[in-house]
Amino acid sequence: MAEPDLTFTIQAYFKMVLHAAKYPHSLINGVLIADKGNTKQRKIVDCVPLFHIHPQLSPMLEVALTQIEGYCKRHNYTMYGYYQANELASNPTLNPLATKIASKIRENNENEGILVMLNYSAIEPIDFDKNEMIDVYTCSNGQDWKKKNENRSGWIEKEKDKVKLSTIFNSLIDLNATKWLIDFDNHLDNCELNWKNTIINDNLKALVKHNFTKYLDTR
Amino acid sequence: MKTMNWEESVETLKKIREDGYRKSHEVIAIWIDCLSHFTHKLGDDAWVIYEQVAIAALDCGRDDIAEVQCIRKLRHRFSSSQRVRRLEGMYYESKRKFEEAREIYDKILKADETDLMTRKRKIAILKAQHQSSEAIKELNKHLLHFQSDYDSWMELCDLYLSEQDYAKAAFCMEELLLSNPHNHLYYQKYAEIKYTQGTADNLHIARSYFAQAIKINPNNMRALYGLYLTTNTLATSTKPKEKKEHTKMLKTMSWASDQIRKKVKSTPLPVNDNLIDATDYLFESLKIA
Repeated sequence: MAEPDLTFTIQAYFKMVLHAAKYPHSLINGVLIADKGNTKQRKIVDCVPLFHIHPQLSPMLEVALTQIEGYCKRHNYTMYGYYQANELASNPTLNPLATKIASKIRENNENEGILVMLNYSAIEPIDFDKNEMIDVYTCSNGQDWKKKNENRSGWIEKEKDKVKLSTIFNSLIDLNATKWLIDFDNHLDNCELNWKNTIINDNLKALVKHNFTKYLDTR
Repeated sequence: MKTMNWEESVETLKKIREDGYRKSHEVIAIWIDCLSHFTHKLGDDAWVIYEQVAIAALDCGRDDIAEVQCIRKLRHRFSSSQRVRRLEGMYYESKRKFEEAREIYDKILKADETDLMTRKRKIAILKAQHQSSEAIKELNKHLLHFQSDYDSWMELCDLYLSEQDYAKAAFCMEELLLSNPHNHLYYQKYAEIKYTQGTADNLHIARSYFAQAIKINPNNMRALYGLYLTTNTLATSTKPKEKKEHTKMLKTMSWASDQIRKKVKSTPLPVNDNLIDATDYLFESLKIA
């Protein structure tokens, strides 16, 4: 079967990035959520940030994955993949933790799914046009994950106003948006914090829709 | 962030310093917005603030602030201080000049081999160079001499976890539990490791350590979920003749799920509608017929 075309929504993409930006000194991971339906074009519509404290241990992972499965069923989504940023930004390579969880998610999704390694460094400047911040891996046999390279610059969804990714990123940092980003660890520390991240979702929508960015550009 | 006057800024930095938070961005923001303009007013507080800001700046990749505005001043005032030398080592680390940094640290340790912070910096360099097995070796050596350095036990535990060596990670947690038998987080983390290891024996240990964590802190959600999962697995794996054991597990399990449900339901609606659904889904899908 041919691999489907892939796009990430602004929401899914920046929530991953903000998760890495909130905990630049930790390994962080999370789940990618796709629309059900069109199998030729897969749209990663959202993500759920999972952990930043000892993500290697399985009990809370089981709890989180089951809860997110329920959430997906209810909204006609599917868990389509896994993302991870390693503890050291200088080392964006696969490790057994990443492939193990990604393979599990793929298995539960009729053997289709992706693994994203996030290459975020809090210190180096980011070139959004080249889109070198994410590496997508796919798997054909359930074991070996291979890096996907074609059409890299088309992965992130373009809105009709063509808001620049770098502008969105800078406004998120200006707004101090990392402090709203909630992962499953935050939720376990305080039940009132919701891993659905409504605040960030709304802000991202507003940033794109109302073109705040024009203002930010000319400031 | 609201703007602070310089007295508030000094207070905030002091609090961050004393509580040991890693809030580097906040520290740098306070420095840039306020304190860097008031260094003449700081008196003797200035030196410890320079040190704090320097470390935070290195953490955020602001080498310029660290070197020009802080380390240089400290060097001028305390020309022979080992503590300042260590900051210079950290500056080299942030530039990824690890050999230069190591040279500085070796010199410091030659003068005083019990300098804990410097010994740990050397291990941090190994981590930064992706040599985690070397880092594990050095930490073990370090802990032979400094058995009560509990931060290092925790670091070693996490290094073992990233190597997926759960048995050794569990051993580190046992040391930490001995150091402070009242810390619910230690019980919970130990139980989580035991659960990850699997096997019936480990699950029984996990169950009692999750329970102890809850006893110390009834609001520990990880421990509540953990207790629910372990008793769930144990209940499904009990043999038919162990009926008493089976009932006991079911009872604990339903207690844990009640506690979790109560805690999640007490959060304000409607913002958290999905959370109640999600936990109910968890209990439903793991239900024992």
